Amino acid sequence: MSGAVLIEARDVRLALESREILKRPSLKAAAGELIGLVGPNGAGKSTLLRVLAGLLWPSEGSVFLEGRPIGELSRRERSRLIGYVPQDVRIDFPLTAEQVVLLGRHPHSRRLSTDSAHDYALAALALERVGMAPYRDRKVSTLSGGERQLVMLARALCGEPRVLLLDEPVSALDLKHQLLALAIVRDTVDAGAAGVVVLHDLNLASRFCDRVLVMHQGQIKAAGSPSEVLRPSLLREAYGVGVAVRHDDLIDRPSVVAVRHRHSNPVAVTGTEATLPRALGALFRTGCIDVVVLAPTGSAAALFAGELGLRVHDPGSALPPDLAGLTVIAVGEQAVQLPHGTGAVLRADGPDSLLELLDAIHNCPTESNFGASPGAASDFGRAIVHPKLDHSEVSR
Amino acid sequence: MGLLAAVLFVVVIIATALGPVSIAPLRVWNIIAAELGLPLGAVDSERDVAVVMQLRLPRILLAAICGAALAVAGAALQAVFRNPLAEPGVTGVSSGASLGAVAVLYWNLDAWHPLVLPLGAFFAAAATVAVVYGIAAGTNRSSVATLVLVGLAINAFLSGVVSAFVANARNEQEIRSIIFWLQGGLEARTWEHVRLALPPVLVGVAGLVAVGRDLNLLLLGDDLATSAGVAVRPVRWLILGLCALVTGAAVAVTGVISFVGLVVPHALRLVIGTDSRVLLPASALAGASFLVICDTIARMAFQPVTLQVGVVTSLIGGPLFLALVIRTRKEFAL
Repeated sequence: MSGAVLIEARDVRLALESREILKRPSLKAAAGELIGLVGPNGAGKSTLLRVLAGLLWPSEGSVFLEGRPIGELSRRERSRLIGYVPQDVRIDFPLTAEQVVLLGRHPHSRRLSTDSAHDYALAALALERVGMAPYRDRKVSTLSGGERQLVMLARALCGEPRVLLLDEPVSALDLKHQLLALAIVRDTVDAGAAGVVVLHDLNLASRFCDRVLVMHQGQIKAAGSPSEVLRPSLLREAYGVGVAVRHDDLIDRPSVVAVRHRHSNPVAVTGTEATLPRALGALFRTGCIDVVVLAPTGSAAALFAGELGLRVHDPGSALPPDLAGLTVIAVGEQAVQLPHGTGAVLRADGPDSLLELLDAIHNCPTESNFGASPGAASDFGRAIVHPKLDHSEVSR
Repeated sequence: MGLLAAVLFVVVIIATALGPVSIAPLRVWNIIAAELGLPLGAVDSERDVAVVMQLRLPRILLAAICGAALAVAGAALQAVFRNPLAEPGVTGVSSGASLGAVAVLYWNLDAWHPLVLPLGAFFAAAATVAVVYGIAAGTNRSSVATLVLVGLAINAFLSGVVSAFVANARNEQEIRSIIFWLQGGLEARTWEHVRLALPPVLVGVAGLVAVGRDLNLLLLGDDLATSAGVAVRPVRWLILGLCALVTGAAVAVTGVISFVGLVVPHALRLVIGTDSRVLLPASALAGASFLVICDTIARMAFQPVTLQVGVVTSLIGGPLFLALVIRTRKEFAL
């Protein structure tokens, strides 16, 4: 599927106002390949894209277009190869949509020449493809953000580029037009172009991109196919949120659900195959992801915990030193197996009381253990008033 | 475009016909044609020939040249600043040019060579436009308000400097020649002035029309312009330099005439749109007609008192400028 590498950045470094934005990330996109560039705000995605587009020059490292150093190509050659769509374009003057799209033909036209019939035909086609043909004569300054985005995409397509560099091209689009825009990009890439698209929606990246690059703090943290890269631990580290990644059979790609991370004191959670998955789902939904799940390796609960990006420990082996003395909450009334080295053991009869317990632990002023101070103990005492709690049933 | 050219032609002929001594437009045309070596009809009156060729035509052609220069400079500045309120008068470029002209007059530098005056105006205009651009670009995204405020400050500062020159003038003759330039008028202009202004304005207007497509791309912002192959920085400085050239040439012969660069491009945009490749030449033609009409109004409206042409453009342009400020939000989505 993939052909020759059309665009490549190699170890590019760039500092703006003495802040290092790019710390030697590398990226390459071949013909027929669509790269999804994802990562938190301020990771350097747009900057990397602008370096690829030849708008910023890296202080170190190099950019290659069709295998040639980008500096060796003339302005005109570069502009013919690259179709760039910036994040947000403010056009204060009443240019019409058609005029803006026609400007995409600039790299192919001579100075002082007027736009040819061919140019007009291509502009009309590009507007048609993005569904903006009825808006041809509308002033872009009166279009909505999403409509403007579609016009800018049409402008890039109108130049018949071999490399598409798109900075959040669907950020203002509704569901239908997100799919339309990315399908057009996909088609263009399948027809032999190379594409790099900055996306915030990981599910769209997963669906449409051949490879996904996760950028974080100016570096590429991971690169590979969506299923290789979209992993809970990696995304959690990059974005600082709880992330569940599950294979979605409908689209046959991984799909991502994120929750806000509610920082709390770490505890271990255990239970039976019957009680644990529901409890873990509840934990994830509320963002309580600082938990260690005690479940046998390979069990359904362990696999589920893995999808949610929760740390899993097999109760058959002793807790590692960093988890020693951890408080354990057992969900359900059945006896559970506990590893060596745990701290206090509490019981919750279901997801609700589990969350109450976690709240109590989180509100506890001491680091990790209950009862270390009288105040903490009384907080805890209020939170776990629950008829079915019984410490004595825990087995070791 | 052809229509605008025809309008300009008719306007020039009619304006030449109007005056204290009324001469039929057809006679005017015959006189001009005869002077150009095309005897179309009998030209009998020596007096009419003198009135047309020595008094009215130079003044009217000068109005046309300066109107074209200011309108094109306005259209180009609006595009390059991405700001609908940019204009030589508003941004202070005209004041800069007039300061250059006044300085030249103050030190009698124009005695060396007649070209010193327009050159002085040009360099001062260029320096001013560089300062305005530097400040407007330095403060984030050159917002509409910033540019107007910068222009306001520069206009105030420069007129202070000019006042200092006037106050320190060595004799009444000098004061009169300085004031003459400050008022923005077309009185008593001769073929000498036309010869002085025409070449730089022609060069500047032609240059600006040639970069029309680049101006369109600059409207999309630096990133898109660059990615479309425009050498943004050199092109922008070229455009600013050409604007300084035509503004300097116009101001050197007429003084500061405000709002032409605002009224004409905006009126045209409503009719022909924003494509600079069309807008710039159209602005040149319409600007020429506009200033000739304004000058004719200035001459004729309150006869025998004649107004300064700058007064007329200000009376038309001032309210329009305010209307634009109010409408800017809607029309230009700012």
